[in-house]
Amino acid sequence: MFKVLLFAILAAALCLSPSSFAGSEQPKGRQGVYLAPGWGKLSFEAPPAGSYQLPIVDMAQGGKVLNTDGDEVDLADLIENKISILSFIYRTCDDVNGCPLSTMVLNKVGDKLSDEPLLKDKLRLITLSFDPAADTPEVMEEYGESILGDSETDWHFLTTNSDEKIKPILDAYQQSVVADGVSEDGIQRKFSHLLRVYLIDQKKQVRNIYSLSFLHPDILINDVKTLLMEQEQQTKDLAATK
Amino acid sequence: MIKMIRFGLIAFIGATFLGVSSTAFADETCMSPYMAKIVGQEDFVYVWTLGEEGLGDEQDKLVTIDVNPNSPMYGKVINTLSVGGRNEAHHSGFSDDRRFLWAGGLDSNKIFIFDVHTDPAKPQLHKTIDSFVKKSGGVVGPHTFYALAGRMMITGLSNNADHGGRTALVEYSNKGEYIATHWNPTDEDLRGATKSGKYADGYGYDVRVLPRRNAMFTSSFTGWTNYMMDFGTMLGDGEAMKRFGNTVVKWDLHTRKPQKVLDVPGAPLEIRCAWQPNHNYCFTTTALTSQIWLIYEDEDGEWQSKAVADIGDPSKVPLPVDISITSDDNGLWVQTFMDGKTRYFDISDPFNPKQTYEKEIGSQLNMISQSWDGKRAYFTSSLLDNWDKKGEADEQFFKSYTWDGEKLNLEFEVDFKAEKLGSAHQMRFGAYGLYGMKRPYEAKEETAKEDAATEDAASGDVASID
Repeated sequence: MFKVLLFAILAAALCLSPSSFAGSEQPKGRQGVYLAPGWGKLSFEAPPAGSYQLPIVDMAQGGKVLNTDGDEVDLADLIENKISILSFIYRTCDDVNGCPLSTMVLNKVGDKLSDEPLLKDKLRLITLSFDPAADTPEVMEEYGESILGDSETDWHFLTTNSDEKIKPILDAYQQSVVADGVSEDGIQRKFSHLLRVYLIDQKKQVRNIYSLSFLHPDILINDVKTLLMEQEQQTKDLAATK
Repeated sequence: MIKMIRFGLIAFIGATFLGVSSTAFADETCMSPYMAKIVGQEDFVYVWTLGEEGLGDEQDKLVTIDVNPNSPMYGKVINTLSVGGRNEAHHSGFSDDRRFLWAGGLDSNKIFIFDVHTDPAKPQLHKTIDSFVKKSGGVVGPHTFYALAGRMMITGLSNNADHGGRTALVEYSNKGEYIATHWNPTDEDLRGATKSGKYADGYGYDVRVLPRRNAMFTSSFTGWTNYMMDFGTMLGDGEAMKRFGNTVVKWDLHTRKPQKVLDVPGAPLEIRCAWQPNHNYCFTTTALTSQIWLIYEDEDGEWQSKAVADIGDPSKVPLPVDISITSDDNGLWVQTFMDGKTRYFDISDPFNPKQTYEKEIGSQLNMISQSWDGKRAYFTSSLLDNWDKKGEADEQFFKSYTWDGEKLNLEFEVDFKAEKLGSAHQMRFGAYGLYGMKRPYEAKEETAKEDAATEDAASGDVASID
């Protein structure tokens, strides 16, 4: 219920309508702000899974983070043996084409997993805050519950102890974040950052990086399937050589 | 005020879209839509400069010019950073987070990555890639550096097998590590693309994208043998003159697969795609045939090419070089090297561009960078070391103009020869605000105001601080 409520509120805030998503024109939200493709229907056919390759971009890095219980865990352990989609956010981000977009897209990916039983146990979603002062483990737990509701999606909501703890992780992923303002009440920090979401394979290799142009559930799902098909082929090739 | 925009699609940042005052938007309009944008007055122009024999230290260098009219150093060269030797310095491009500027050498194949975020007024050499040819599998002449999400797409101009024009796109991570090579389609290997006309030459030059259409475009120039040849010698060599590209290729941006080879005869160079969210087209100009070409998606969703205007008198070969589209897609600046002119075309009807203005900038002219609001335009002179004019006609300059909608007004210029810098080539904008920094001279003013206010308060006067 929480989940439905969250996105109903969000959709209302953006004044979205189904007709906004038709065709190749970009949908607008309230005040005429153009919405990123992820909010609507993709304006082109997502390339079929397995029809392309996703070369290795980088090795994904770990780092000490806090889960929603407040326990320290290593990000490296969380991205091992599963395909992971990693998103950096801060919870109070109010840029419709920023953090809310990435959370919404990951949520749609999670929803699609129920129709993709083969993917369900092989994909992990990770949302990591870069605002540890505001986004405590308790806050991230509440945030996660508001999104997940009763869903069994394998989705981890993480934070860190301090700016010093998150910085090396941001640096390792070259996630540019600049704290450059405060909210109107002077309490919350505001950040400028490039929206980045990372697709990481089972061997902890970054295989794609999405900014808002290609951050769309159809693209992400097909990229995940492409990695699984690649793994399947590698397994077959290995068996054939034995 | 300068602020880093939080997202990548340029269509989202126009003043009209955000309902923000239109007084503060500025950025060059030829940058990648994936890139962090400047909002407000640019502070610097970084000029990637060819070293000239017998001039200064003779080395290629990154020259930083202060272009903020409020700065005490306005109009001055405030930093130079030599990279050692001459590499045929040519083009450069920022990473998507705009923290690093990548700059290439067409002859040495070296790529220099400058840190422009630690101190935007004083870039530092962060890393040099000297394995481009080997890693890419034989690509020569790193030309365009175009930011994609977390990575850099680099076009080649040539190859190390025959030093002709067949070449590829090469992808690197933002950390400077090689990722992949994507060879351009040829008659022998179309790589799944459709050949729509006479040509599939496999040549390369520029790259631009329209992410919303999952489209990437490459143009085609000439190989190492030609671009390193003396210009007059090449013009007199009939065989050499046959070795120019005649194609634009439309690629699937997500899969990096070539899809359609379009005929655009006469060496199509720079590609500039429209910014407005529903304008599915790009422009290019042909160096040898002096035409503006439109690359557009037709009503059936097919990509087509069409010559839509002449530039000057094509029979005199004015040699169109750099172009720049305005952020509202209504204007296109076209530079011609031979007559040193810039021309402004009204492209509000993209199928019928009309020239409305022209001005001679110098004895030779190549590059332009304009601000996002179109009110400022900067020009440089150099094309290629062996193609630039000789003797007194080899003027080397950076010129800063304002554009009032009717004419260009010269604000200041830097004589790169008098300053012993070299030959001025490509320009990129920098700003303190991209990195959450205040301009030092404004910070000093604020401190002075605060100090004055403190003194006034101490003496019992009422003071206000803006």
